[in-house]
Amino acid sequence: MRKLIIFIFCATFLLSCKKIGNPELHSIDLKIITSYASTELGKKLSLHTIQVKILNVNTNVEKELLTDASGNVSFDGISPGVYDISATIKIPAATYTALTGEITDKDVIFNASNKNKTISLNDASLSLKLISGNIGSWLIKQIYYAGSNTTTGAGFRDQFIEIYNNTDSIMYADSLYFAEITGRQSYTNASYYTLPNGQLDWSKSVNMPTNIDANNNYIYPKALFMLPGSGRQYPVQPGASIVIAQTAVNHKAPFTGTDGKTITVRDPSLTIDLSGADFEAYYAPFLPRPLASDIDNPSVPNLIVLAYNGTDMLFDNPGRTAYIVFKGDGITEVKNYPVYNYPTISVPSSTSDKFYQIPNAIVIDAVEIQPNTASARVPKKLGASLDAGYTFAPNGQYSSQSVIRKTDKMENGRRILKDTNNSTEDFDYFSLAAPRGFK
Amino acid sequence: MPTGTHAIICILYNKMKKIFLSILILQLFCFFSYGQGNNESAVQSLTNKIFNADSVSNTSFEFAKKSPFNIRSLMPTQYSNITLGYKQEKGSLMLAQDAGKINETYLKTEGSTQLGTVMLWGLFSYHKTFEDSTMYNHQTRNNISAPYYFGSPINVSYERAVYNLKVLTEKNLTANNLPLGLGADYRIGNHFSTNDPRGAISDFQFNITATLGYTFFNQLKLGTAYKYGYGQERFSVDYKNNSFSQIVLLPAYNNYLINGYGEAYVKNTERDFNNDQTRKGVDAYINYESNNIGKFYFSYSLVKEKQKYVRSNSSGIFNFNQYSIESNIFNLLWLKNFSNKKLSVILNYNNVNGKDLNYIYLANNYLYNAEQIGLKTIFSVKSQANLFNYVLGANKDGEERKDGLTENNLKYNRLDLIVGFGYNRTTPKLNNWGISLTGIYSLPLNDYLIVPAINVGQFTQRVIYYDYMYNTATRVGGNLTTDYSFSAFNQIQAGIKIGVSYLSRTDIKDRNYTYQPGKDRFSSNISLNLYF
Repeated sequence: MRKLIIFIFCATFLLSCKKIGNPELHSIDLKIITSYASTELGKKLSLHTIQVKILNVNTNVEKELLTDASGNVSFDGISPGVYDISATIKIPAATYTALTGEITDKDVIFNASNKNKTISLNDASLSLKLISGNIGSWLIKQIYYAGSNTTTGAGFRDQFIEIYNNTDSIMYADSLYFAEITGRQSYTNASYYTLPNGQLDWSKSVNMPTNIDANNNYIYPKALFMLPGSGRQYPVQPGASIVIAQTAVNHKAPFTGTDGKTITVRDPSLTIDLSGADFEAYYAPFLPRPLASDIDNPSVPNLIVLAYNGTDMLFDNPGRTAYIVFKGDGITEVKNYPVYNYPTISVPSSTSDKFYQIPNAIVIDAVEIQPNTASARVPKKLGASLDAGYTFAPNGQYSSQSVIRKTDKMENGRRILKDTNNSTEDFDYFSLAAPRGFK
Repeated sequence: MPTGTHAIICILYNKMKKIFLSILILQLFCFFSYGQGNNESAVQSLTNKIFNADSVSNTSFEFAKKSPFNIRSLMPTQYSNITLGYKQEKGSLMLAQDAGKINETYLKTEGSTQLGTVMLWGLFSYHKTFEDSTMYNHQTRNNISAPYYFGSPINVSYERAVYNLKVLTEKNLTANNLPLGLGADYRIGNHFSTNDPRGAISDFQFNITATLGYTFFNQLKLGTAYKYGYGQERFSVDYKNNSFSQIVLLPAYNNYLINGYGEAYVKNTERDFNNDQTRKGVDAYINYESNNIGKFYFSYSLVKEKQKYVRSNSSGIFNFNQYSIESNIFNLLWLKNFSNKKLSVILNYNNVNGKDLNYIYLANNYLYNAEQIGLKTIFSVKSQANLFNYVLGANKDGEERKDGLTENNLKYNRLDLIVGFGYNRTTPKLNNWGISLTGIYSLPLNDYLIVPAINVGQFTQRVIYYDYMYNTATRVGGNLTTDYSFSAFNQIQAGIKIGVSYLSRTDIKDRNYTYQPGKDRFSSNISLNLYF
């Protein structure tokens, strides 16, 4: 019996020495290699101390490092997953002029990004090409796409966009265009030809010319608007803005819809007064059944609608749209720009929607919006030359929140807004949208 | 493995309620009618009360509940108990995913008896628990090492109702040399949070054990068992408030998914999944009884469990994770009687090894190991109407968790030292009262924490670091219990038991973390007990 007990104790002891081992999966070291997209500039500009950020979109854990002299940086021990990766460098105007010979009085910012990038176990390195974007004269200052509570607020009818004169001169809003950009709205929709980043491959659209870069040099709006005016009818002072409303009324107060019924909100504090907007969208003249809330405020000029999607200027309230402002190049009228179908795998029918093709070169400012939660994000629509990042209202749709461009500095009493072509950096949010407000 | 729907679980849950109430009423009726005017009943009920107060007997009784193999040797042939109790716990000296305040009401009835040549033990229990409140923890409290679960960073209050039915039977054949046993354990629960985000979990577990043994020379009894079980946990998270359902007012209202032991990430779509479980195992038993050295009861149990985390809908079945758990459990009980004194020594070793299969990568990411070694010595002295219990115990337990994708690696080992004393007295009028005092000193032995800073987010700070601080803190505490019982209706022993516990931390490893466990935790318990 004694031997038996000894045996039992020994067996117990041996089992207690069991080791847990190591998991088969492991973290990875990700090397980011930055370079300038322009070979010429790459020979002249330094790659040292480029700020590189990686944000795990699932966990919101962010890490930031600076590149070495070769433009490389290594993020060691990161968990595989989906990341927003961006790189940026701001070169002072004097340095830029000295290095390149190009005379500029403004600092030059180069950006690169790769959003919603899946970093797998086998990804050891990633290259980013730095591009300098347009530093805009007109800036998209505020976008209120989220709307307010559908039960107690105004739903989506109180949406607006605000465009700002960021220069030191008077500019005229006449014939200024703005647009909502279309694209693939999920990573899994298999009915389109797609690019490696998940976005539509427009080069596969029917009749798309083969001698242009349809994906990198153009964008495709689903809704396209032009501000009216004779050319000098709508001046905008330096540091002032124009507000473009879906419906230019005071949404806090009851108003009568086109069907004769009163439209009210239960909680006015959730919505805003847009009666002072500078322009509004009015779809009734060309829609057989316009929204009851789409009333015409006679004192507010209406937008000229070149292309539309939906029954009013309805911004996608989960936040899956990019916005641009631009002016025509004076050579080709915008309404004469070519239009193309979605690059669907099945051949589109003759009645399928077509979309204007807008050259990136004429875009003055662009902002990409994405949903507030990582799992709902969609393929990025804008390249790094237009917007290296994206922004969103933190509480998502119907939250009354808007995204608002940050103030960079004050100059002679004029507020200069931040514009690095990276809306992740340039934008903050208002808990309650505030037309003409600042942050 | 049944693939029951939520409706089936609800039906089972409701049936369980009815079964439980029926059995309780039947048991009360039987005992009240059986022993009317019978003085033997009064003596028997007092015997059972004293059996319950005798720590050596009670230890043997608890040991026997593990399997049908030992119920004849270690359980009384006539014992019944009904307990209605209320327990409250509060204080922030707790694991991160525990509740700051717990109110629990429970009703338990159990009994052992011999029907002819069949030995029988059964237990029915019902627990209703209110937790106020918990975070990152839309789980039952039964699967603590789970690699895949939902959680909310905002605190949510939980209500839990759990029914449990256990039966063990044994019949000895072939001149009492061939004991055959059968055991069944059925548990069903319903758990839900009462504020948004609302977790709703329904679960059931069913386990059976079949044992076979042989007795040699009346001294040595060898045996083996086969175990099989299955169960299911069904999880979902939703929002009651319309505002929350269409808008995430605060990021804290997001639903998070924990997959492994790394960071939690937002998962606001497809907020439901099932955990389908199956388990198989074998036991080995060696019992040796000697007049000289006492009685030895050894058992070894090996159980292998598979948990499949899946979601099924009209598009098919989607696998998220598969978790394999292997448990090795050794128990050795030594009982020795010396005239009016009794000694019990219980030595146990448990090792639970968990390994997941992450379906995103089709590879293992999460490893879990929990190890516990315990030694408890109880010495009881019975002197006429007095009973003294002396308890000394040491318990070493440790845990290790690794997450491959983040390279998180945590381990701790700690030692609990337990000392206790109890006194129980029976008066000539068959009243019985007792008091017991237990002290615990719990100290960390060794540990390590490897959490690469590059992957640290809210979950790591609020759960992983927090638990690490809790598990490596030095703690001291105690428990005081008093009870009083009297003979009622000349057939039952009715009593009340009150207990209070207090646990305080005396030292903490590092005070630089943002979130840290609190200073103490207090619990109190009151129960009404009937012994037949």
